[in-house]
Amino acid sequence: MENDIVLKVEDLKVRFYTYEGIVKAIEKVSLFLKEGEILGVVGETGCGKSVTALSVMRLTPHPGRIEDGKIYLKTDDGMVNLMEKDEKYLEKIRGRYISIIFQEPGAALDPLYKIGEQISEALLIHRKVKYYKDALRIVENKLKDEKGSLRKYFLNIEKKILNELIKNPNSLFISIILKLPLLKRIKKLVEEEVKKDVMVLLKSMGFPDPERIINMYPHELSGGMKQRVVIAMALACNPKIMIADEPTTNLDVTIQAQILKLIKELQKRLLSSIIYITHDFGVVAEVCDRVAVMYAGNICELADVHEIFKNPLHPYTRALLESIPRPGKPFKSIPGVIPNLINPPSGCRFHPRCAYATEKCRREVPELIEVKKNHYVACHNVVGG
Amino acid sequence: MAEESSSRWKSLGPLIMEIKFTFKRIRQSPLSIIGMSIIFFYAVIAILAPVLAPPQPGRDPYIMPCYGVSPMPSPPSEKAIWGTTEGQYDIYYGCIWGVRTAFRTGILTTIGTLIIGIIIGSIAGYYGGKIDEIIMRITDMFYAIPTIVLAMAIVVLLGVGLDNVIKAMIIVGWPTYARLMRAEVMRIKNEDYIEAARAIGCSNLRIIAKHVLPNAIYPVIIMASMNIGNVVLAASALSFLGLGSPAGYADWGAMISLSRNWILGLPGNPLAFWYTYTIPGLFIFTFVLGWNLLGDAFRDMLDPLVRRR
Repeated sequence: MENDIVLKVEDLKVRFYTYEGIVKAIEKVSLFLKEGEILGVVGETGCGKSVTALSVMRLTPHPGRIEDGKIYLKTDDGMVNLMEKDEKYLEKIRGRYISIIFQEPGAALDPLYKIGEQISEALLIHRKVKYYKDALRIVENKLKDEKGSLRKYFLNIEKKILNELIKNPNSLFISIILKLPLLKRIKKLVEEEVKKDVMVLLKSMGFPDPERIINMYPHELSGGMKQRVVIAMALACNPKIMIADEPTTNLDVTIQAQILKLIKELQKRLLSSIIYITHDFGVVAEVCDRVAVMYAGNICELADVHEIFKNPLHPYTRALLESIPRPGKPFKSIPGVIPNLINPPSGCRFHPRCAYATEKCRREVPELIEVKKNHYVACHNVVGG
Repeated sequence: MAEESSSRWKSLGPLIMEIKFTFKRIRQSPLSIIGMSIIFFYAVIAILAPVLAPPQPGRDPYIMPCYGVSPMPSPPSEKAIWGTTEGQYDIYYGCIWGVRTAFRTGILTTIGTLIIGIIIGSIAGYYGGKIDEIIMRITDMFYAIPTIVLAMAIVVLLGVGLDNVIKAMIIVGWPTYARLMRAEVMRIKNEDYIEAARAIGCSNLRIIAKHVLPNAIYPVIIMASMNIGNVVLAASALSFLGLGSPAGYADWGAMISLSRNWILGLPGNPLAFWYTYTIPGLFIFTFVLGWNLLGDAFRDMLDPLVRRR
């Protein structure tokens, strides 16, 4: 396995067990993500982009189930197959190594908590101990300068409790003790430490006045601001991989440009890899390094962004690119509709809409093969070339 | 000008700002002020009951003093300023100490039903499937029988008494809250922010405690605050039927029950004993009204979507 691969998905298969029947949402999706690259995932609505993204985090929405496949994620203990891990382990992975931002920034924030509280939650889940240690250092410093014996006595108690917390961060007993009036100060101390990091984080998201933002509720922010807060939450623990599920679809164009710029900038600075899900080829051309084109639960083409635009090999990719409206050119749409995934077409799922379909396409499912270096296509009749 | 005042607010710190804002919201709605003042007024009466109507030393303060043995109510006089009801029990004393009884029944019953309803409802809503199905069929069984009849049956089973009335009403009352809670939890658990919380690594318990419950609980709390009045009304009805407190206990429902034989008055003077039922009746009426109005105030106070508009 190559060293710079941070995520590798092999033969992912997801089924939804609905009342009307089994929806074959994802059929053998394989992809990999290299360190520091932005992989675009493009396709029509309902082709399984979002399900793929959520399944990679093992968050497949109900009633969906991952039937088969392997998801390798690079962690501090090397490559880990997420399919073999239990929920407890996955909770530690999510947010720390891999995180996601959603399409609707307004809905991804809990309306009851202030922005500051929500971002601190993201930080505290994975870095509790670090903040307890910070607080302990402050208490120890105070203890050095303190002369009064009563104050010293209290500071010593605080020190003891913090030491205990560092040893045993999830202790229920201590978390109840911390609610007591005099000992609340410890919690305050920890919160102050977290707040410092929240401010830095918000500042790096381009908020000029984080002090004001942390005391606001989500509905007091505009769409673009909310999306930046959501990105801040996702990046709070410096994950290696971020999945962006159409993060700019519901924003207007100027805000969209701002968010795209921010994402690119963050990706360069933090060296994380991004899976960028969209249906907008303009955005793909703007941000992505490589592109995966999806159709009806399959990946049909995977190549560098320049290669896709210059030399599309799959008929579906061609058709998609041709259907981008351009002034002066006749507008071409793809005939037919997206297939019903309860009863998908046999063979290649695109064959009923494909201009080049042959008898073989009706019978056999095409494999994703490397026709050129770093250019994978799943088609029996590779066009052009 | 506006900027000046907002900067002054900011200097006060966020918590005080919140409280100030809450009161500003409540001030804007006169009905909630009326509701709050009624309940505040009753709370003061409940606290000051030993001063307003000093109990005789050595006696249970909740038993109304009686001035004689004649069953016939007597009109307001020096000794009993609002008159006496059947058995010569002092109406003034009973009404004042009855406030305490009303608060106790209302609040204990509501807290009991709330806790059971919230726990059962959120389990049903969050986990769904078979657990949900079983719990909901049990609540359906409770719904099939009229609540007051069921409560009566349970009181008879447990034995007559005010404590048993409270227990019976808790047993009968929780399905309403459980259903509402379940519906709310089911709505909230499909929200994007729950998914987002899971995506940053929250555990199930944390999601329920920090994100699902606080978001789902408002309609239940508002309903509960409106229901305190109804609970008092139901308890009064049970007392009126003779299932509640023992004879002579300071309880509005029981007092109306005592006046039952005198509602028709004397021949030729139907309003002869008006004080026996009108005064406790007015207490029940205003108490229930106060809680209903307060329910609206609670909504304005608690719901962040309504409040910051």
